[in-house]
Amino acid sequence: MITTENLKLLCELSKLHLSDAELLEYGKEMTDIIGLMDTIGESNFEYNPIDTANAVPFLELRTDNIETFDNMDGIVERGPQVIEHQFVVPKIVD
Amino acid sequence: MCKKYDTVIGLEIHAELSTNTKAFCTCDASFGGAPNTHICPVCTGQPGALPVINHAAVEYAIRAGLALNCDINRYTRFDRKNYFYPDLPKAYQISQLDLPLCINGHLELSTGTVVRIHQIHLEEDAGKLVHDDYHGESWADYNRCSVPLIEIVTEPDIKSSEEAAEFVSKIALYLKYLNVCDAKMQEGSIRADVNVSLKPAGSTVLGDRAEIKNLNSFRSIQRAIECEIARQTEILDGGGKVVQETRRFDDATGTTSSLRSKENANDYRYFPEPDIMAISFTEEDIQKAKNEIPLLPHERVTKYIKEYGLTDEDARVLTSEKYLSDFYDETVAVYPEYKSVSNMFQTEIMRRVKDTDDEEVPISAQDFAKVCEMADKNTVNRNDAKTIIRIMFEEGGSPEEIAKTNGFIVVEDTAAIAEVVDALFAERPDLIEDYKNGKTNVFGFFMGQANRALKGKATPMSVKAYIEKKFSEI
Amino acid sequence: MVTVSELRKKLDDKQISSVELTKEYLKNIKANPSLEAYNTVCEDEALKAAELADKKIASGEAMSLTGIPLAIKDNICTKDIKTTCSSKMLESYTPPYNATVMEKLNAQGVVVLGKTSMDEFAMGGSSQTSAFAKPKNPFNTDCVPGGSSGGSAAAVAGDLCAAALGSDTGGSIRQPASFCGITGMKPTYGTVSRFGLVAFGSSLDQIGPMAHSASDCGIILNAIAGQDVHDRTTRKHSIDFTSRLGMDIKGIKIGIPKEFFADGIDEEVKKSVMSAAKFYEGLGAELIEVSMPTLKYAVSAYYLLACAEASSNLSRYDGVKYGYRTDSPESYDELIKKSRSEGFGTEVKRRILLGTYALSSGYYDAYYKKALAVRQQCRAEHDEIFSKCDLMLTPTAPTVAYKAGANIDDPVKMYLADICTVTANIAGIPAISVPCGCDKAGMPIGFSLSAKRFDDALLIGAADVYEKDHPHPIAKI
Repeated sequence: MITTENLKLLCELSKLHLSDAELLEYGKEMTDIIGLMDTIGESNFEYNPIDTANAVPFLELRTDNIETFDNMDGIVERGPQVIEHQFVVPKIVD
Repeated sequence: MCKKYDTVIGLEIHAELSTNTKAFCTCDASFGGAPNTHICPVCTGQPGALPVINHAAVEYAIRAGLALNCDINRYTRFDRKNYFYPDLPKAYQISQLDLPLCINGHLELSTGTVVRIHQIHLEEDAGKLVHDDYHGESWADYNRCSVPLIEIVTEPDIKSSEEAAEFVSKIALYLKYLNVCDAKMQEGSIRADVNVSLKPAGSTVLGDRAEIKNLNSFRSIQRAIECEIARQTEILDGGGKVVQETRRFDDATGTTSSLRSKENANDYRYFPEPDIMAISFTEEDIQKAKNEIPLLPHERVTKYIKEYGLTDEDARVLTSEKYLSDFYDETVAVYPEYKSVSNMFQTEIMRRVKDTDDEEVPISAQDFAKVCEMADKNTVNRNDAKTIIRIMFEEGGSPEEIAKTNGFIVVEDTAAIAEVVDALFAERPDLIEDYKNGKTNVFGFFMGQANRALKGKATPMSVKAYIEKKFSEI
Repeated sequence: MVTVSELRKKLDDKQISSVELTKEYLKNIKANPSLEAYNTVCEDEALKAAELADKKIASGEAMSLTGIPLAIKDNICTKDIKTTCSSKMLESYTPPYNATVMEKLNAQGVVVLGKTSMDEFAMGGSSQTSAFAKPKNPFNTDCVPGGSSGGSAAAVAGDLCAAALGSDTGGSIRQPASFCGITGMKPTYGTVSRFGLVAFGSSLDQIGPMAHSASDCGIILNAIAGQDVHDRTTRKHSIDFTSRLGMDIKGIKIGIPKEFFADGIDEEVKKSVMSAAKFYEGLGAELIEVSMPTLKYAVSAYYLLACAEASSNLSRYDGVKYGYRTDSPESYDELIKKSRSEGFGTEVKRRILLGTYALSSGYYDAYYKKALAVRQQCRAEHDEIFSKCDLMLTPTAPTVAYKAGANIDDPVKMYLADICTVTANIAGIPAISVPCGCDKAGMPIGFSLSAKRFDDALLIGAADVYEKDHPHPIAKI
C-alpha cells in the first residue's frame, strides 16, 4: 500500500509535483503496480555483486588524450536561459 | 591539566586529479577557461550521451592508494549517487560505493598516531555556480564537471586539530610527489570534510558526531575543528547532547553553524552505474603501478641522508615541497656537491620562493649548479655568487655573463698578492713584533686588509697561503 | 512492399534513383496522415541526401544502404534534427551531436525520411503515450501499432519507408514488429552502440532494425553494429549478420519453453506460433521442451530494473540545460519540480516514481537488489537452455494488436503484456520477431526466435528460412 505520505516523499526525491487529485490517483495506481512488483518477494536468489566475466581489463580503458568537442556553443545555445555563456537558474540558497 | 574528553576525528579528503582529460569524457580537465568552454555532450548531460572512463584517472587513484598502503580491489565498480543540483547536469554523480578502487590503507603522523584509511574511491567533480544576488540568479559553468576526484576516507583515528592539519598537509604533499594532484587549495583542488565527536576521556564508546563540510585550507581545517571541539565541550559540560548533523564553517567569524537539513534530501539512491563496465586488474597491472611510484618525501629524506650525507634537518627542509626537492635533485644531477648545493639552496633559493604560490623556481637548476660550482672553485667569491643569484632572480641572465659584466671573476694574480702583502708587512713592523711575541691574532688584520685590496684579483685562499708563507719565513 | 536488398539492386541497376525513391516515400507519408507514424518528416534534408546518394551510386561508391530511405525512431539523436522522444519535455530539442548509429548510417549515405513517433521516452507498448503523433496500425487504424517503436513499425508496414531503426528495452522493437506484420530484431546487448540513444533502461536498451525481412535486418545491422569508443558497453565482435542466410535447419535444436505457452497467451497466437515451430521441425530441426522458472518474476524484475535506471536517467530533464522549462519559477526547486511535472506525461511519471521507490532507502534490498538477483538467475537459466538448444522459439506477444484506448488506464495489465519479450533484455540475448500469419480479424501474429549472446547471425539465418516460405502479411492501406 502506497500512502499519500509515501508518495509525497517519492515526489520530493524525484522532483515531481502532484496535485491533491493526482496524489490520490497515482497513489491507487502505484499501490497496484507495487502489488505486481511484490511477486519478486517470493524469489530467493543470491545476488553476487562480482561479475568478473563482464569486467573490462584495466589496460583497455580510454587513453588520456584531449579531444575537444566541436559544438560547445551549440550546447550552450540550447539552454532555456543563458547569460554570459552560462546556464541561469533562480538563486540557490542552502 | 587532566583532559575531560577525548577528541575523535575522521576525514574525507577530496583531491582533484591532474589528468589531461576529464574522468568520463575527453574534454580538457585543466583549471580555468572561459565559462562552458571545456564541455561536451557527456559532461553536460545531453540526452543519449554516455560516460567513458579515463585510464589515467584510475591509474592515478591506484598510485595514491598504493602510496598510502592500501589494498587494491582487483574488481572495482562505479555507482550513481542521485541528487538534484544545478551544478550537476546529469542529476547524478558517478562515484563508488561498495567496490571502491582502494581499501584498508594507513598513514603515520609525526605524533606516532597511525591513521587508518578506510577507502579511496574515484568520482567526478561538479560544476561551478556563481551567485548574482542583485538579480537573484545563480549561473552554472560546467567546465569543472566530471573532472576526476579521489575521495580519501579515514577511520576516526585522528586525535587533535593539529593531527588533522598534519594529515591533510601530508596527504597533499604525497599527492604532489606522486604527480597525481596539484594540491592547490586556492584552486579548490583539495577539500576536506571533517567528522568531529567527543567522548569521555578513556572511554571506548564513540560520541555523536558533527560533520563540517567543504574546508579548503589547512588553517580552516584546524580552526574549524578547534571551534567545533569548543562547541561540543560546552554542550556536553552543560549536560546536553550533540546533534548528529552537517555543519558549515564560516572563516570570517570562526564559527560553525548548522546547515539547514534539506528535507529528505539525503537519500542518494545509489545503484550500480550501468553505463560503465566494472574494471578488473591483473597482478601485473598492480605491480606495474607499484613500479611507477616515484620516491615519496620520507624516502627522499632517507636517500639524502644515506647517499648524499646530508643532515636529517637539511634533508627534511629540502623535501618539504616537491618542487624544491625536484630542483635540488636536478642541481646535484649536474653538480654532485650535495652539501654545498644544499647550503646555497637553503640560503639563496628557498627564502626567495617560499612565500610565492607559484611552486616554481624561476631560474634553471643548470644555472644554479653553475653558480654553486663557481663559488666552490673560487671562480667567484661566495658573496659575489649570492649576488649573481639575486640578479638571476631579478633580471635573468646566465651566471657566466653576470659574473663577467659585474667583474666578479677572480683572477689569481700572484704578483699582485706579493706586492700587496709585502707592502703591508713593510708598513706594520709593530704587528710583526706582536706576532713574534705570540699574538697570532694579528693574522686576521693582514688577511682582511689584503683581501680588500685584492678583491677580484685573488681568492682569499691564495692570499691566506701567501701570508702564512710570509709569517713562516720570519 | 519492397525490401532493402531489392531496392539496392534497383538503385545499382539505375532502374530508379534515390531521389525518385525518396519522393515516393514522401508521397506515401503525406497520403497516410492517419497512421501518424512520424513526429518529424525531413523532406528537404532527405532530398538533399538522396541527391548526394545518387552521385555516390553513379560514381560506383555505393555501399549497402546508400540512397535507401529509412525512418529513425525519435529517441535516437540526430544532429540539428529534432529528437523529441515524443515528450513535451523535448518538444523543441535538437541534439548538438549525432548518435553513433547516425554517424555510421550517414557515412553510408542513407536517406533519413524523418523521426518516428513512439511511446513517451519509450515507456509503453502502444505508442499512445506519445505527446505528439499517436501512431496507428496499418492493418487496422483503429488498432495500436504496438510500442514503444510503434511509429517505426507503422512506417515500415505502411510503406512509409524502406526500413527503420527502433529501440528495444523490454520488447519495444519486437512487439510492434509483431503487431504490424514485419520483422524486428533486438541484437545482443553490446552489439550496437547506445551513444546517442536517449536512455531509458541503460542496462537493457539496444537499437535494432525493423524491416520487411530478416535479411534486411542483417544488412542494417552490418551497417550499424560494432564496438564504439563512445559506448564501452559495446563489445568487440566481427559478426557478419547475413552470414547464415538460407542456412540448413537440419539438426538445429529449438527449445520451446513451456511457460511461454501458458494461460494468458491468446489461443490463435499459440496456434500460429506452434505451426512455425512445426515448420522448422519439418525441415529437420529438433524441438525440445525447456523450462524457464524465473519467467514468473520476469515482469517485476524488468520493471524494477528498467524504472530504477529510468528514474536516474530522466533526472537530467530539469529545465536548466535544454528542453521544457516552466514559466518564471521563483526558486530552483520550483523550476525543476514544475518543469518536470509539466514536461513529463503520466506514464513517465509513474515509472519515475516506481524506480525511485525501488531504489529508496529501506526498499532497495526488497526490490532493486532482488531484481538484480533475478537477472543473474535468469542469465544462468538462459546459459543452461542454450547449452541444450541453438534457438528458443516463443510468441512475441500474448495477443495481436488491440484497439487504441484499451489498457491505457490499467498499468498492471499493460505491464503484464510484456511477459514474452522482457527476458531477452534481462538476459542480454538477441531476439527476432517474425510474422507468422494473421488472426481471424486479419491482425498479424509474430513469433520470436532467440539465441545465446552474439549468436545474432543464426537468428537472422533461421528467420530468413522461415520467411522464404511464408511471405509477410500485407497491410490493406
